[in-house]
Amino acid sequence: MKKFYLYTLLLVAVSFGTTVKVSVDRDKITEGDSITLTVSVEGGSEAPATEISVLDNDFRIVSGPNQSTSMQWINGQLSSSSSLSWTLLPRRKGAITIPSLNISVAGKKYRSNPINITVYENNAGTNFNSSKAKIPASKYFIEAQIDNDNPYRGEQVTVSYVLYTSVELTGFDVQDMPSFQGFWKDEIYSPRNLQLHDVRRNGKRYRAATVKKLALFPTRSGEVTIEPMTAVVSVQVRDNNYNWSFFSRSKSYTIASNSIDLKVRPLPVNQGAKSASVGNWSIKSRISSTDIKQDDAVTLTISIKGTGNLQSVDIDDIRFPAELEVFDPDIKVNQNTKGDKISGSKVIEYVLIPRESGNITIQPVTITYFDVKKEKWVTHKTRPITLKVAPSDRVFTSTSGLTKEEVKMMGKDIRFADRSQVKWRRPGASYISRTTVALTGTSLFLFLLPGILSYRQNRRDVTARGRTARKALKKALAILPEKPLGAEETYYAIARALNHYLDAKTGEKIQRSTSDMLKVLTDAGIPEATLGPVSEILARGDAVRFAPVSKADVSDDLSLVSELLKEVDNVWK
Amino acid sequence: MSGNNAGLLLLGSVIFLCTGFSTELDTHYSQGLSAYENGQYSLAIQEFETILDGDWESSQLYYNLGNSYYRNGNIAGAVWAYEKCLQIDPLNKDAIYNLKLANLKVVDRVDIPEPPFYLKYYRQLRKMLIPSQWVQAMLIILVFLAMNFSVRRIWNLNWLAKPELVLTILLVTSMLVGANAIWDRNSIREGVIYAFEVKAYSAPNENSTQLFDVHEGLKVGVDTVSGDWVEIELIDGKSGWIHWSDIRLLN
Repeated sequence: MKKFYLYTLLLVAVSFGTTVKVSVDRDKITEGDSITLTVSVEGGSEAPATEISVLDNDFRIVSGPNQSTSMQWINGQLSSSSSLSWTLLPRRKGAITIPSLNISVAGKKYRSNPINITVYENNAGTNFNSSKAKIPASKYFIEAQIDNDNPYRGEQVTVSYVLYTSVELTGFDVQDMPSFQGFWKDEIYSPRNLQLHDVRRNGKRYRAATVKKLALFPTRSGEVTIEPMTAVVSVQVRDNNYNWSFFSRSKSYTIASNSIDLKVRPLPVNQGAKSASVGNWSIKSRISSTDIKQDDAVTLTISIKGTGNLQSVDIDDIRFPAELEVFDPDIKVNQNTKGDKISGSKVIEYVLIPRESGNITIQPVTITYFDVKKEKWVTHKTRPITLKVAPSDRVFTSTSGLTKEEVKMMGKDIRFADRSQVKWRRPGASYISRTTVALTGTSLFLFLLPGILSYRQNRRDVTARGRTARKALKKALAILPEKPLGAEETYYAIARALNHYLDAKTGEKIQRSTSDMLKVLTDAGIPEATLGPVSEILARGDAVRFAPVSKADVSDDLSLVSELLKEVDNVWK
Repeated sequence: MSGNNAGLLLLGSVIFLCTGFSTELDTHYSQGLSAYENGQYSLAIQEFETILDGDWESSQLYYNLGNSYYRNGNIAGAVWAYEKCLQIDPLNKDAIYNLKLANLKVVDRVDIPEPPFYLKYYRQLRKMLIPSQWVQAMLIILVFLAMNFSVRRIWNLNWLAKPELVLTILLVTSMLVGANAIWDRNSIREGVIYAFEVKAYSAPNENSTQLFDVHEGLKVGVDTVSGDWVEIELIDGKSGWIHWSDIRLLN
């Protein structure tokens, strides 16, 4: 039995030195055991591409594909091989056929022949009624057990997984736990090291250990199936293929537990309450104080104790009186860790603040649950609580909406009288006061000051020039001779006098030609009536050197010039 | 330079005129204070209100009047007087504190949402001076600016251009803030509910719909006045008409 069998089922093809083989490690197994399917290619290092989805109907693939490649020298020739392997778990008992598989290696397509295997019933299991077992009981297996296969919805069902073995195991690992669909689950036992003990099973000796224990609460009624769990066991194998080997080596197998079918009973219709708690519960309530003052907080503690689904158990809705301000409750769950049945207590704490004084009664708190033993709905209630609320000492009717600073200020007193020097003023006084007018005036004056100063400076300059201008006529007339001299000298004096006059008037001391002088006079706005004779006299002066002028004309011109100068001075201010 | 001397003279005379005094006022005021300190709060209120009737006011008067009202149990009067005090002296810490205490006893509570930070800072800045002080501050800056300007122009001191720019910015700022303060003071009319419980109506007559109740001491905005009726507006936007006699205006 300890011999390692390899049933080589098929040699698919030999071409270009490539051989493709499909094999299983065993063709007769017991329920819960797994087989290893291997596709190997010899003479090629490329992994075979294999389509295995056709196996899904009859097998669960628990691991794989695992790939291995090896090279070795055989008779002086290098040969390489590669393989893919899967661990398969049969889904049913009896004869199962592995259908032909499509395999392609390096672009070449191969097709394997079907392989027949047989899965025997485990005659060591609970459903032991087959006397014509073909092979002896398995050496190792996992059994799933439940304490109740016909529970009510919400009632606890405990499922235990027990490992049985008749050989020495070198390793055990839980590979896959079922999803427990349709249940609310809570793990209650999961040892780090297996505690093996001796048991007898159908006259055979085994070593057994509980691998896992879970509390399950069905969440729906009807037929529910708990899928198998899978685990990997390692056993010692003495390799007989090589006679020279003294060593034993370890080999791993994947095994699965049995699946369990449950029939969950629905809960009977519960009139009134909407609770869905199942189990066995008691309820108690406690208040921190019953004699309190308005706006002081009290704590209402409700504790539920018992067995059942502790997480989901809840009290019926509480209707608090309107005089109470209720804050969201604080919920604590204490679960007992010992025992198979989940039990413990749930404590719900409400903080209540009475907003009015007087007697306030909190109605009994109730819990409604389905008692599985009595098979009926049960309601427990607490005693009503009456709060004696005294009026608040605070003057204010409400503290809500106050800021922290304001709350701090409550009860403080106002500050003392102000005895400082009083500054009286008229109510509703205009913004325009004497001060404002004075300030505006001052600033206006200051803004104007530079302008005023520069204006005055200008005026001073202007009057200084005016004084010389006023003297201009006098000086010019003084230059003119009283009696006509020689014609040339007289006209020269006339030109000098006019030039001097213009010097004083314009403030520019330069020698001007006749035309220059006329231009200045024209620019000054001297009328034509005055300007005409002046230009005539000047022209005669210019010509006197070349054309003789009578004495009488000279005398006339001299007297005319002083008249004209006076006229000019009258116009030119 | 003679113009400058004249300006200084004018300034000096104005300062002198501002420090006028009245002895009758002081008599009432000191009697009010001693009445307050002897616990005769009604008498104190009477003395202080006499001064107000004589068309004189001061921040100290309003503060002490507020204290008298508070001690006498008239929360509305206290709120009104403290608010008036803060109109004249917005940074009076004692008045701010006592107003908070008085407001704690006001039945109606209206929560004002926190304004954005820039608005908060701006309001703090504006609160540093009352409107008339803003005007004065503006004018003082104006005087300095004018001095700076004239000195710079007369002596051709170009380095004074920068201070002039700073002063100009200060002037414009104070002008804007002051104008805003004056605008608010004149356009926003407020009052304090004076009767214990006041029903606000939808129109200025008692047959109209009752909208809401307000209680004594609540500061409300005043929209329109129509005969014996005043339209008030709460901070949360509700508005309604109440009797003229149920409110004491703040401005």
